Amino acid sequence: MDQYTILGRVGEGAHGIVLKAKHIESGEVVALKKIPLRKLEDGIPNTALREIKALQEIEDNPYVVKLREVFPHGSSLVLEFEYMFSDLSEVIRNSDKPLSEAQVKSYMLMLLKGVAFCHENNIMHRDLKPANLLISSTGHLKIADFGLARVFQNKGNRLYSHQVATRWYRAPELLYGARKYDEGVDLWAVGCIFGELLNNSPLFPGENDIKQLCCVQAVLGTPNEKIWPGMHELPDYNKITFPDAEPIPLEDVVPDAAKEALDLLKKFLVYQSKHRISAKEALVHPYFFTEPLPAHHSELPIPQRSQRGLQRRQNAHQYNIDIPLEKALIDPELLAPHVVKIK
Amino acid sequence: MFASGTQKRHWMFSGAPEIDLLRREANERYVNAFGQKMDSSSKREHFLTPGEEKLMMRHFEFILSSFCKKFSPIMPKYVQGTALTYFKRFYIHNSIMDFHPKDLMLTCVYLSCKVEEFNVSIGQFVGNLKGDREKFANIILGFELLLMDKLHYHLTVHNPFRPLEGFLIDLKTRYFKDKPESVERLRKNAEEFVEKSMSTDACLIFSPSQLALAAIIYSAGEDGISLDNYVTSVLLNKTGPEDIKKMVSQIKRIKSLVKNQEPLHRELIGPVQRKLENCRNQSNNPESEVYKRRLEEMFEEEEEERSRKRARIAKEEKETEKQLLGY
Repeated sequence: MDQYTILGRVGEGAHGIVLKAKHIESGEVVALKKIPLRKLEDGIPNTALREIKALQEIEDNPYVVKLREVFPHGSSLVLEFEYMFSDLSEVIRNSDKPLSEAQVKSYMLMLLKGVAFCHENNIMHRDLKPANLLISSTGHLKIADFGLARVFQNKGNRLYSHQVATRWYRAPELLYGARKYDEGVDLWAVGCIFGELLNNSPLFPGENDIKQLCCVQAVLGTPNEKIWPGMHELPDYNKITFPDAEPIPLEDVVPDAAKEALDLLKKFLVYQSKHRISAKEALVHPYFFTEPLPAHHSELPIPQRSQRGLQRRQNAHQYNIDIPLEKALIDPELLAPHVVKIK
Repeated sequence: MFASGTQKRHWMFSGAPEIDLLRREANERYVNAFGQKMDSSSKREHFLTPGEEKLMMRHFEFILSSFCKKFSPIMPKYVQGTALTYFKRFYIHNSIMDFHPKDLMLTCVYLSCKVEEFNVSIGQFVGNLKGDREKFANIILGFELLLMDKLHYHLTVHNPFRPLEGFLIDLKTRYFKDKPESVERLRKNAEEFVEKSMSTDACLIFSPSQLALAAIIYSAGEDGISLDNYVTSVLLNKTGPEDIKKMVSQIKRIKSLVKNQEPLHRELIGPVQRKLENCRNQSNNPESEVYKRRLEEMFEEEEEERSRKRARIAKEEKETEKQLLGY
């Protein structure tokens, strides 16, 4: 810890605090997640182990937050991450006007690249939500918080906990208590995030687990064995029944979205996990290849965590690459009369 | 994935000589640090030799395995495999004399349980031990962070059990299509072979899938079946003859490593253990006064830091209050 100057506190997690710090030697600003172990009865928490395990195994990826270092500090465990300015939930909350189509597309592109990378490496994140998608100072999106991430095995018969994922982004099979599930839970969450970006408000804001299912069914309609084979076998299926609901066309739920956006959204929000579009496939969906094309990262908002940020944001306009070059240069015609010839 | 993961990048060695060399270096470092004033003959008398360290290691690996086998609830094999791998990795760069294997052994199993998501509480875990359970819990939790640090936070271990399942499925579906039930007969001997391999350093030299393949070939051999044709024309049918040759030699190396393992000389264990009690690093002995004092000091320091911080915050709050009140 002597190698860092602490610059402030960024946030508080379930098991510790996150500090913003400067690595003295390199001058780089980093985020330190400090987990005190002394008062923990079972020692190092599973969430920390999962995060270390998942992030140590994968190679660097521009869309996954980088775990730079892990080290002990007294009786605490410290995880050093690259420092990120903000997260997607703040982008959604703080943007004065809704995000443009090109911006949404850009965020989705980065999110899907990150998810595809995780799934290729057999990692399911299990807790994708806007607050876990961090935004860098350059506007890039990176997936973070692998505290619930599991390495999955396609043929395995292992049971997983269904108490994962933040409720609004939790897949229906999890809401029905499924203990065997797959990376589809992440794809459902991606769909929810997509809907939220398009609408500027959460798609299924359930107040509790039961209302959550209600929310989903109110839009997608009551599922049945035909569209969702195996649903009757889910542990909690018999515990709750809902009045039959007809599906509402997504066009009505996300009224401002373009045709291609709706088509892709529909492919994520499918009851049967196996039928959800994979991240890799989604990346080649026509949505990303129709105008307006995904925005460049410099065209994305970079909200600040602190008040001071507002000033920075204005400064950023000075580097706006869309401003014509001539405006930044002095007209040679104006200079011409003042030129003194030197022999 | 094994191919891109930390196991392949950091914990695979060329062979027994390389591992032995690293362990000898760890032994030397310890002897040099703690025996500065001794002449070479008293050093030999006082400290464990690399050979004696190896004996201790194998002895405690055996205890670790039997602890895992008797564990309640029943512990999956890969949890034991991961624990053993942690144990072996730890003692590549650390001497037995620096950290007593009886402490680290338990910590390895406990960490493995968590990493492999075999969820047991610390209470449940030490419930499997006889004696002062609270003391054991404190030892385990006291070494957990140190163990992780010495493992360089590389927690993922690929065991041969999964590739073995894979080979069994592959044999059933691609090779013994007509009599898939006969493949199951190979399971028992193959699993035993994998287990035997875990008491060697094979997991530090060979990839898990090579170990699994050696196990299945060995088991088939015991049953009078040759899998040569399966290996060359089904499994590696797109591989060049050079690579097949390499693979065959790797399998041979594994078989000889596992089968030519020296038996553990139990009668030697007692004296070496007593020697270890005298030369071990007391500051890493949870029962020593030095260790306890160091732990207390660390906690006190943290406590002090906390109270300093609290005092500072209180002072700041007071100042702002004063300002607000306009003093």
